[in-house]
Amino acid sequence: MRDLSLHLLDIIQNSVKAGARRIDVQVSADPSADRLQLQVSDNGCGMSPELLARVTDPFVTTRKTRSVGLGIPLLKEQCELTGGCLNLVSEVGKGTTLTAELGLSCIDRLPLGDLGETWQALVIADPTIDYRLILQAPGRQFELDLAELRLRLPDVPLNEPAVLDWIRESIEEQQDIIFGGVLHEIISRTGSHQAEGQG
Amino acid sequence: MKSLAELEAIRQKAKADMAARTGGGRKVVVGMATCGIAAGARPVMNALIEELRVRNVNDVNVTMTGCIGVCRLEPIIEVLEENGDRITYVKMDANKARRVVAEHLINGRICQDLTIGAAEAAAKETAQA
Repeated sequence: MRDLSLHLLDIIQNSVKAGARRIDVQVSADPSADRLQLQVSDNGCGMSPELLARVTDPFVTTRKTRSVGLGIPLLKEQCELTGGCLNLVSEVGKGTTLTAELGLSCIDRLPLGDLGETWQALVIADPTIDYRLILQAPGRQFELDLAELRLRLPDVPLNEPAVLDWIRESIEEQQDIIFGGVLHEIISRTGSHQAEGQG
Repeated sequence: MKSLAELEAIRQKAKADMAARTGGGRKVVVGMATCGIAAGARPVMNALIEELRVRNVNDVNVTMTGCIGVCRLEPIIEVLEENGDRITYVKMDANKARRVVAEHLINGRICQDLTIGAAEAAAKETAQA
């Protein structure tokens, strides 16, 4: 995976496959703790404690078509590479919450990538799912709730091109505003060159 | 900056676009499991959407699926024709996706060199050489 927005696309699809109709995603940067947190919560079918214990094993999957499941193990590896960790909480019938903690200033951390394009792909695939995205940095927050957007556009599906453009561009714009300042702070503090690809 | 106030204008435009649409049952499915995403499926999907929009093609639905089963040939897209025919394109990128829109979806000519058959034949030749 080239960036964290692709990891998110992959992880969120696990929620979709689990039958979730509501998926909350939060991306939070905390420079004082040197942490970048990605959190995906869904109301899907959830996992049994047995499956939950084994789900970070790349040779464990719920699919019948093949015997590997790499999405979660790859994200776990990226977290641990940056001094962070991955945590999963799940309950059968209620849903699952995945929390990925990454070292914000770690040179090995992948760039955040383009969350707008990830959201566009998700909405194209199923415009009826209630995705909520929260982008957060100290003093700044952006929230986009597609359930609310649907109320404002009652007779237009969210995968209409004009709506897709608005969703993608809103996220790309806010991603720059919210994480741009954090990035400058990290670069000035550490001299890191991770600006590339932060979008 | 984008604002919620713009949504009413977007709603009116989208409704007009929907009314002008002819409909149709052709479908393009993009493989978006871990293998597809890691190989570059997201830019392929976005290029398809963009090219269909630029060329005003409105009888094709683009959607995504999980692992199609041949991870080594990702990114993979499948064109599902109304008559049930299925054409599988492999090792796609954004430029190839635009070509499939222009040549196949608009002009009805299958891009033979991008199909799974062509890729497998080339791999066989290489193995025998």
